[in-house]
Amino acid sequence: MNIRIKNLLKWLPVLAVCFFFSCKEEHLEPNLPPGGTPEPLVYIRALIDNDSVNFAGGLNSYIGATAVFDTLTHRTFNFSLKNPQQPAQSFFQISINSYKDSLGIAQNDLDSTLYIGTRQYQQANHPFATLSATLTWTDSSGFVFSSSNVPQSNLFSITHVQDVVFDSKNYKKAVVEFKCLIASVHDTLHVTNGKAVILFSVN
Amino acid sequence: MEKKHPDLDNIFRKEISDYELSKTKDNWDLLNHLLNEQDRKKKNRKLILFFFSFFTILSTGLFIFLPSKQNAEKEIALPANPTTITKSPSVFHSSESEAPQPAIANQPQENGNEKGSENNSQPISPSTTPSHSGAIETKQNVHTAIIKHSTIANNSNTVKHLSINPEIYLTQETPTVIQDSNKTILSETQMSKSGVSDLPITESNDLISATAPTNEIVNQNPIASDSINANTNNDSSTAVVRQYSPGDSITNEKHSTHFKLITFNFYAGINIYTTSSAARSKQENISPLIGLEFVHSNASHFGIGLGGLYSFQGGYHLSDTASNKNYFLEENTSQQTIQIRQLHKLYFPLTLYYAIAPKHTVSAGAQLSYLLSTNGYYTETNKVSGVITESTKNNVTGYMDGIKSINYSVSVGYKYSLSKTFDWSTRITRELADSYTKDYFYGINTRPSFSIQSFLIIKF
Repeated sequence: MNIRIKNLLKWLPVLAVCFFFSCKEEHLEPNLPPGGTPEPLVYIRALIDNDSVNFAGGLNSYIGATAVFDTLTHRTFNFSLKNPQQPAQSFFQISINSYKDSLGIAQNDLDSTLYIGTRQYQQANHPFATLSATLTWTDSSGFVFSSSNVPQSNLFSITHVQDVVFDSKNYKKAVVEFKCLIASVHDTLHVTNGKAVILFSVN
Repeated sequence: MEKKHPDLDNIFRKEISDYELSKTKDNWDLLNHLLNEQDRKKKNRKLILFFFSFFTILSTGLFIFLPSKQNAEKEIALPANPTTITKSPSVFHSSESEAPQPAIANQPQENGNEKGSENNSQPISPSTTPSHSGAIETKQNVHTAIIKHSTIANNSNTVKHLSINPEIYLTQETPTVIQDSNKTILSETQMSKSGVSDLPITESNDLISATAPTNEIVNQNPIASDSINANTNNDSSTAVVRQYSPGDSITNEKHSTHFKLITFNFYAGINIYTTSSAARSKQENISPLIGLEFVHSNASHFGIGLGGLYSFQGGYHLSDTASNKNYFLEENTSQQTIQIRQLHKLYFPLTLYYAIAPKHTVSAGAQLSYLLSTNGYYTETNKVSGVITESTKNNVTGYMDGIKSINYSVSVGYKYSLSKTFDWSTRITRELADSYTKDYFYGINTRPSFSIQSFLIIKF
């Protein structure tokens, strides 16, 4: 018995050496879904009556949100950038009408709607205009200013469109530029040098 | 194409010929130097790991493949006076009426000293009295005999066989009682490997008769002795059987003339060490410690030992956090936190021993410690697109960032011999380098620390 124990103990150092090299070293490596960027991805910035406004998703608790508004026959794709924790803070919303007057498969409608080009601004007292855009600004007092309330002499421009997948969801990223008038029941504002990176999705 | 400026190259050469590169290190040199230093550190670490692995394997191999001293220390029961050696055609066997191998041995009582017997199985005539000692008579050439270095010893009242080879046996009769008035004659037969035959040997055709007087060394013939040497790897161990009285059992005493060069010790003990937490409060902890040590000793008081000890140490509060964030519609965050609570550590002490007294030994040495792995609690929190998920795992292993995997220390100690098998040892160890990367763990003392190790040692 003693000899057996001794023989067993003889090989313990060999086992220890094997153990020595068999330990796997781990590291803390936080992972996030691919598709994100190290800097804020979505933003809207513009000059509103010579006041610079700049909102970005992820800064100052501003969050971008995508939505699809459907009526019986019309579909509109929306992107808003606001702080849900502070409803009193001002925020932007950009809407683009679907490419057709009927409801189709949402993803197909989105794919057919977003492409590079210039768009007219939707007018509030006009019928639904396909592919038209609407810029809405809500100030900190809660007054809503919209491009649909004022006749526009400029166009809304989509300069870049890209498909993006994040967290297993499909998005359309669009780079847009705009210059327009926005009006509420009380006032009209000039929006110039407007540029935004916005996302649309049907999820 | 016409060359408008044929000497254009020479113009530039002349202009820049006086230009000398700055000898001071600019940022690129510094960066390059730092990168090279990191590479050197990695190479040094690998080199150290390689050497320690090499020495560990080497010591293990030495221990395994060095001839064992115990193999040579055979218990040999040798015949008391009188001795009778009998020979069969292929077997020498001592003759006795109670011999367990009657097929190869004739009874000495029956055959006596019948030297003229033609039977090849005739026993060697026993010398039943000391007066017959001093002569070995052989029927064959005993020089061809190969004596195997093992002997089967039966009890004192039965036959004891000295195995010469599978075909040769030396058998001893029941010891003869030589009664003196108040003393018992000591029959001592010693087989020495040096084995130069001093006994008179008489050869005859049929039998060998070897009779040794009381207290006389019976030696094999030189050739047979050489065979012993070959079979025992020059081991000079001797075996002595003393019969103090006929009624006593045979006592075998092993006399080893060798000093054990390498001993093998098993360590089991505790490790007392200090840990600190983020609150900068120190805490004493005790962890188990187990391991092996090979000690090389010489005839003087000194010895040197190389060991490998494993310790599973708890009581740590090493918290490490890593976070990552990116942006999509909003800021997405992922945070991982590991709180290391236990360390698996290996120690490789190289110790110099000095025996100041038969039971008291002091030691001093250097020790390398290696971090094998860690145990801890792991927490991960993710916030993606406004959805928060959290997960926790217990007993995660392998997170060692911020802890220096290799450290060096010096130690002094004391060892007390409790018995032939057990020792008790304790030593104080002082680290020579920081245990952790500076400022990696908030509030953790990174300076070298002391520890006390105490062992019970089992010697093999």
